[in-house]
Amino acid sequence: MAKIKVPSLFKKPIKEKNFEKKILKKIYIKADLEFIKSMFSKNESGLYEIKKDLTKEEADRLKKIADAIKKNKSIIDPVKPTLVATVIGAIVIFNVLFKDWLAKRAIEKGLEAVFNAEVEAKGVKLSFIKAGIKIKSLTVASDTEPFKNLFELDKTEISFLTPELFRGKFVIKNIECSGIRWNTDRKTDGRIIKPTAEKKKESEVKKEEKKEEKANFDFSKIDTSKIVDEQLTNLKSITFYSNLNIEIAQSKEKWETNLAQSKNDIDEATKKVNEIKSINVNNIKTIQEAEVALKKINEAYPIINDLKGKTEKLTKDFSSDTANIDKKTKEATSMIDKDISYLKSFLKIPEGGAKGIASGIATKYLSQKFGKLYYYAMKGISISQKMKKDDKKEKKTVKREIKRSGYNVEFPTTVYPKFLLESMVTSVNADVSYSGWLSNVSSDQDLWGKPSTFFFDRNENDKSITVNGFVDTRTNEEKSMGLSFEMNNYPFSVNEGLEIVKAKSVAGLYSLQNSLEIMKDNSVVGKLFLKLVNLTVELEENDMISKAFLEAIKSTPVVNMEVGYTISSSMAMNFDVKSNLDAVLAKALGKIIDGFVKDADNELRKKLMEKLEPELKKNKELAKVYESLKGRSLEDLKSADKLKEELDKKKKEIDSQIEKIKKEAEDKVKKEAEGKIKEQTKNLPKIPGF
Amino acid sequence: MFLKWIINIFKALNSNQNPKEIAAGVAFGFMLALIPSNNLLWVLLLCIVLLLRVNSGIMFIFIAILKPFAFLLDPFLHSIGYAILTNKALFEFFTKLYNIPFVFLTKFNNTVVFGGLVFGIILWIPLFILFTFLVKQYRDKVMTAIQNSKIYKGFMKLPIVSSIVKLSSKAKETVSIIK
Repeated sequence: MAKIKVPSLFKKPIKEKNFEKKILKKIYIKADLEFIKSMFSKNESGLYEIKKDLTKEEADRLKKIADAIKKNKSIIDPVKPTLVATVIGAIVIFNVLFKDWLAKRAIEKGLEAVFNAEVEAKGVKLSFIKAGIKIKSLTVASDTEPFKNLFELDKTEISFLTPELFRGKFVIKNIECSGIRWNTDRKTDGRIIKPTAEKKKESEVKKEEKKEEKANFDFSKIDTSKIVDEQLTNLKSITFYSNLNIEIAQSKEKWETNLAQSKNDIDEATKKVNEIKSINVNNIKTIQEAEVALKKINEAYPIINDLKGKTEKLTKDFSSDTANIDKKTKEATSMIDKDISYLKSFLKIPEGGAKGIASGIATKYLSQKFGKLYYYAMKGISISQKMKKDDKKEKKTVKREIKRSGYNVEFPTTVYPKFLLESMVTSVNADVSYSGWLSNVSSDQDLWGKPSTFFFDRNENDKSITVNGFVDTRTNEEKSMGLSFEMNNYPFSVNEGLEIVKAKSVAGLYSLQNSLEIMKDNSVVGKLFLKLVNLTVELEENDMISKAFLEAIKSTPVVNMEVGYTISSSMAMNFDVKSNLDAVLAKALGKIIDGFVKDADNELRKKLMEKLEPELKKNKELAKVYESLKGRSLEDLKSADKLKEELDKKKKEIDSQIEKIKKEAEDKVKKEAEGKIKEQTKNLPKIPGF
Repeated sequence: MFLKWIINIFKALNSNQNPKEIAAGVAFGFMLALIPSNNLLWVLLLCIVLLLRVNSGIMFIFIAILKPFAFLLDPFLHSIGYAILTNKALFEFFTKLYNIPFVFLTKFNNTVVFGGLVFGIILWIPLFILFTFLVKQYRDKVMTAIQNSKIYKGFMKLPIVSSIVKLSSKAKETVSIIK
């Protein structure tokens, strides 16, 4: 027989107080309570003790009750906290193992979306407690240059607002970076969207075009005919004259028809007027005869008036067409001058002749440099705008109807945009020392109320660069960007646009101060002060021009340039360059270059005129015909006027004849009446006197 | 599923569990059903409740039963929440609360959430008292009456039922021995 086990809770004798408190009070079913009471009895010591001869059923029931009592002991269930602790432990382990990896992926993917290029973050450590990220290095590739990085960051510490992460916002309070480098080399192509084969071809073609542009220029071998022939399709005057001649011919045809019609009308009207003219007024003796003549005149009047109106309109329209053609003819003449200027650009002559040599070279050099600067500035603005757009997009998707939505009572608090970088600081003190900061980079500047501002300062021996500026995407602001930078003692080398002075390259050191503003329409207005020193020239040939150029450079130890520039939204650049070197060069090379410019101008004009000859001849003929049409039109107008005058004259004559007939009739009636009165008054008795 | 819930309810009622645990489960079930669940407040409340000696089975059953109908009380909960949240005397307190990191995740500033919380707290004590009483009454009267009824006794004496009962008790024994 198996041994009957008594639950441990009931094994030992128990005090009455404890029996009440620890056992009876923990039993909530009456039957069980009664059962327990029946199982216990007081022993000699006054303690409650379980009865000894228990049956198996009793023992089983006691076990169940003992288990229930154990369960009902405390308010907190010891099993549940253990479970919670296990869950928390699992989360902690997950965080330790995966959070850094997740942060690294988030940084890389997020920045790749912004920069459209590969991003690599190394040694990422995320801490939610400290609300910060530490990165050993971060590399952002360039999206335009395949084997270049846009920038590289060394050891970087980022502190952010963790609570805002739960609002779906990434608010960075501060970034401290121990090193930053731009435009560094990389081994792989970091572009996410690679250009297609077609685009590649295009860029290759452009490169080839550029190569052609670089071709050396030789004064003695100018083939103006070749230049004109090659640029024939780009010359506007030839097409313009051709179109103008077509227009004149069409107009001529139109007016020939109109004037022929007008001539017919005038002939018809002249017939009518001649008929009226043949009426002899002196033969009209009665009112009835006069009325018949007057009727004829009145019938002719509407025809003549209509003719006059038509002729006047015709003349007016003709004059307007003539004025239009005259205007276009003048335009065509100025078009020739523009084409000459265009053709002259292929001679690579500076705009102001000898006076603009330095300015011309500088303009060409600056166009390239500013093109790049403009590209970077636009990239900055577009990144800022892209963040704003993404922010708005997110907002849209969040708008959805939630069940049991209620109403959110808002309390005053700082509302952050979706992304905010309040401050980023970098500073390095070494052979190359630099410092910089970036602040208020936000995805919604309208919400944050501040533009993004930046500053950078780099010093290396006697070279220094300072950049200061802002990017403003706020809706109501006029300027998108403001930038000022200063560079001192940087080397430069120019080897393009020097053909005119027969030099291969000009090198030296430059210092500049530049300030520019980019408006909302992406146009740029700016001013630049440039100082060039230690200039060295490498000559192409050792002739008169190159020697004069070298002398001019030697006599100007410091070249100052003042450049006012504008870049339109379509990237059209306009530079107004003033330089002290211009005057020096003009003095040295003035006669040679100005003479050449004059000859080239004449030669090109001659060649262009040859090409224009057929159109000009045609134009001349058409103009002659058109002039004759003008005469005819005026004649028509005169004829209509004359017919009207004649009609008026005849009407006047008839009117006066009618008056005359009327008066004669009146006199006759008067005389007859007087005679009759006299006859009547003869037989009347005389009145007696008093 | 629904049958399982009913079995669980009766299991809890017929066991030797403290009636207060069952009543607390019902009261917390009511509270959590009233509060919309898309916020940290609801999750925190649930976590706290799970740590307490509360019949969580009963609580989840009540949440599941009441949740689909809770929206009917939304206008009422909104008016309570709105009245308290827009109270000028409490403005400063709520502003401070709102600006504490992470607190916004509780969505306490939502009228239905806050109304649900307040109404749930108010309702908790009467519900607790009521259900403690009801459980006691059930155990004292209904359960005893059922257990003493001829139908129950006859049912329990059925060979299939008695063998199931025996098997289950044996299984339990085996489990306890293994443990």
